[in-house]
Amino acid sequence: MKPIPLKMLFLVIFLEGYVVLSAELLAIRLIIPYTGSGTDTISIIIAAVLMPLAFGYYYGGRFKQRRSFTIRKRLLLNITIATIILTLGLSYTFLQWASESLYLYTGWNNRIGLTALYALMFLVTPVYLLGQTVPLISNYFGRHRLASIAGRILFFSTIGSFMGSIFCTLVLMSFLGVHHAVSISIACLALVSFVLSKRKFNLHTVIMLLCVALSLVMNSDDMLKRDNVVANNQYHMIQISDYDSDNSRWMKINHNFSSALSKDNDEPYFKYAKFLESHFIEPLTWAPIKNEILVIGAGGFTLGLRDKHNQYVFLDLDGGLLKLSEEKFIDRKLDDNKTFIAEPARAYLSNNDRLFDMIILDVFRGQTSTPEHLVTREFFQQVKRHLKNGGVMVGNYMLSPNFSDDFTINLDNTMRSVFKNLNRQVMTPYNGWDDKSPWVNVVYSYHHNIDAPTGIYTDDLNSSHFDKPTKLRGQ
Amino acid sequence: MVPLYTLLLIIFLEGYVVLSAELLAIRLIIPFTGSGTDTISIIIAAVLMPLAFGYSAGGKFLVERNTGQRAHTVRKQLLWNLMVAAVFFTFGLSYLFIDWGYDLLYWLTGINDRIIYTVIYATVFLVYPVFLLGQTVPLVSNYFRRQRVAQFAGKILFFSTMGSFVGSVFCTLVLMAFLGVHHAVTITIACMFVISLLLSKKKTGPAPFVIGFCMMASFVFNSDAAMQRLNIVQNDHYSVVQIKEYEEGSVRAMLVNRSPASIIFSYSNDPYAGYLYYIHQNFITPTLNNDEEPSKDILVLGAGGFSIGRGDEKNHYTFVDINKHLKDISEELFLKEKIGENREFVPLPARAFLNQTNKKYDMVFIDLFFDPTSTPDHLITREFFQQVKDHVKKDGVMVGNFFGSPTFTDPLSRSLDATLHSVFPYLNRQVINEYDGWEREGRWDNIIYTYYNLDEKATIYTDDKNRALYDRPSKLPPRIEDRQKL
Repeated sequence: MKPIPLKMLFLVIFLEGYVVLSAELLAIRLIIPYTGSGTDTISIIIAAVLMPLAFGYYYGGRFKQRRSFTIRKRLLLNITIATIILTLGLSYTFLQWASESLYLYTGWNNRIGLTALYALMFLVTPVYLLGQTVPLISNYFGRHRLASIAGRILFFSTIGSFMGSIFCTLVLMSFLGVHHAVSISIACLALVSFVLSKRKFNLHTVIMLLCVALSLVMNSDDMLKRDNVVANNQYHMIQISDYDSDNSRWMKINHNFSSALSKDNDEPYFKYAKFLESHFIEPLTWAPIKNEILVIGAGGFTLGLRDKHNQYVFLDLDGGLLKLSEEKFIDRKLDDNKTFIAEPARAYLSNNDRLFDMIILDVFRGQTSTPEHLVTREFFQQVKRHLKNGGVMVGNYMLSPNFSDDFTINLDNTMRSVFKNLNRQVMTPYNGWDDKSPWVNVVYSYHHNIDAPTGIYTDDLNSSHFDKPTKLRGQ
Repeated sequence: MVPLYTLLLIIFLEGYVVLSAELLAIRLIIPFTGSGTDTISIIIAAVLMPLAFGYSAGGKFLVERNTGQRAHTVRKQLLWNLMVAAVFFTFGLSYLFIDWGYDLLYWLTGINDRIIYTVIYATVFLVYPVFLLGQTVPLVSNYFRRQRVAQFAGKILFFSTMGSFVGSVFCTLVLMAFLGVHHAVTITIACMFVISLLLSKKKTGPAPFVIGFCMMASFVFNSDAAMQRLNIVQNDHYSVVQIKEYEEGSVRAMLVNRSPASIIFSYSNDPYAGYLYYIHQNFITPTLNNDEEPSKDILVLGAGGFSIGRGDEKNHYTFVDINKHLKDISEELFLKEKIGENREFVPLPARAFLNQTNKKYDMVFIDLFFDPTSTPDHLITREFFQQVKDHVKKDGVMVGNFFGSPTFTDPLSRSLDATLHSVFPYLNRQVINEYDGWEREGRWDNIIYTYYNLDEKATIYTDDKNRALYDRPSKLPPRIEDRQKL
């Protein structure tokens, strides 16, 4: 066995740790636009990494090299196969094509099933193969003390994982984008293969270089632009499209329609946004005082875009949204009466005592993209605490119009446990008898009256005649 | 000397006139100020209080005028009282005059408050005439001076109460129901005319003359021709029903107690009212567009003009309304066609109907509220909604059309919402028309509540225990390529 320099061995272990963790996070980030950001889909991906990793470790430890199939060959073969699979599995362009084809030919659209299929096809095998790296490599540390070498191996592997989670998400995804972060992970694998190869120019190296090149092409800016992708960072993949037929511009966030406006007059396009504008924003534009409005979920900054009178605070996770929207969506600087704060909604509400005249909840963009921490009683209580007396909470949700599923029922119940007297306005026509009717925009609105009565009318105790308005005309 | 039977007849008729006037006043004021307990109690108070003072004043009259000419004085006083009361009632119990006075008062003073309006009406048209009529029994009792007090008191009270009994039962259940409110008014004035004839020595004296004139005026004011001029097609003990046409006859409206109960296009079956359009669009049309969807049993509480589901020959409708004439009126004058064999009419109060049937319906549509003032108090209670819920099939729907504040500005809107939620846990509250989300003046609008009778298994999501990930449907949403749907 030709020795490999110690530094190189640790580099390989480091890079393997980096690639496995970054592949896991990239897979999560890439699958979210298709199957949503639920705990269930994320846990499937994590399971599809941890389980084969464990088996990989186990199998790698049991591997016995033969003359014809050495440890080095095993390692190179593993890395090459893993690279080929990950090149496809972590490519947005390939996933887009694969998901379209799957839906077209099978009509299958179950998010759990899709996530499991994706994990099985593109994660389990490469992670299982990469998981063998550490035990296989440890064969090269034969003369070292087990305790000492185990500690160092685990150190470098964990540092690699640490970098794979921190550097890949906070630096690469943020500054270069998800698509380039994928190419860097593939390049890391190519580097591992290069380090391990005796002859630097061999079949493995060629395949690895081809994979890197393919990854660069499939994840290139040009390729993404063909699909109107303008940003692809750790939070979102954002697409912006223009439609000449009605001179409108549309923003998709993680494959869900998020914002749309008329390029002629900045008028919002979505029915729910028009409803919010006409019922809650336009009446404030001629109010004598400036009202304070908090918008949770900035989207394309279309809500209140034409209102130059009231004070807006837009809240979103994605710090790049404002620049992107100004440059590519609304085509101008946001007016001075609007502020953007890049912070998670709950963090902002926890760290802030400011009260608002209106809080708009606009963080639900599709059936699959409902953040679970933003549907809890405690979140709604936070929202309520930030309303002025007489203020209004307006929430836009995608839900069943006729309560045909548990999520719709329980969300309604959760909201009503916090907000008494809620309007639940269904935005589009629906079939009142269809218990499988598709989800539509449902707008909840709540008027915060601290001294509102909570009594109910019974046959025995009925004060309704005192409660009725006494005015006769003008109703 | 007035014969005994005549005296007892006068007492009987006075009892009849006072009670019928009270009930007629309540019935006449309801279209203007609503049927709330508050307005009814004002009218009752405006009868009972002056009646008590009238009894007292009538008793004192004897003491003050204890002279040799008292019998003549009593007769004159009685006739004077009767004459003045008749003049007041002729105007106060005329729908035509109330309608004109209602508009005039608003125009002159801007008064727009149903309580104040009811108080003004009661003060002007009820208090004084009832006070005068209340003097009748003690004044007439002067003619009984030779009788034993106990015997005399018993007879007077018997005939007075019998008059009141007939005034309440016969006037409402017979006269209002079969002749109409307007003719019942004329009969009441006619009763006063009879009293004046019985009391007058000269049958052509001023009192019979004036009261006779009042009777003629009442007959004219309350004639069918006068009612027709106001488009009134029915005026019974339940409601005033008017049919009006607009836009050169292309739109026809049925008004019940002056509030629009039903509006239709005369040339098409399409619903005119926004709330009916919503119900058609989401609940009726889907059953018609899908042949595989079985026909639905639909219970409609509050028939109005029978316009819901117009043109629908698939589903079966049961209309329930307290006014038994509504179907005939609707077929003859409003829809101008038979309502169809799949549409059944049950003339019963809503709660009575729900009490006597165990049948469950695919949809129960509550359509009993025409405007803010006409919300029947007994039809917004928890027990009523529980009755409704008990008649909704599993997976069936309750749809309620209510008048309320889109922005929960007033206590009624808030408490009604809370009452509904105490019975129906999952509710849509759909505001039908455009509204100002910041409105605080109490503007009311049609609100549609819809409830689905599903298994009640709701939980709430907390930071600690959140199973939203299990509840979300695992099916991905259909790929929306049609942007118009958004």
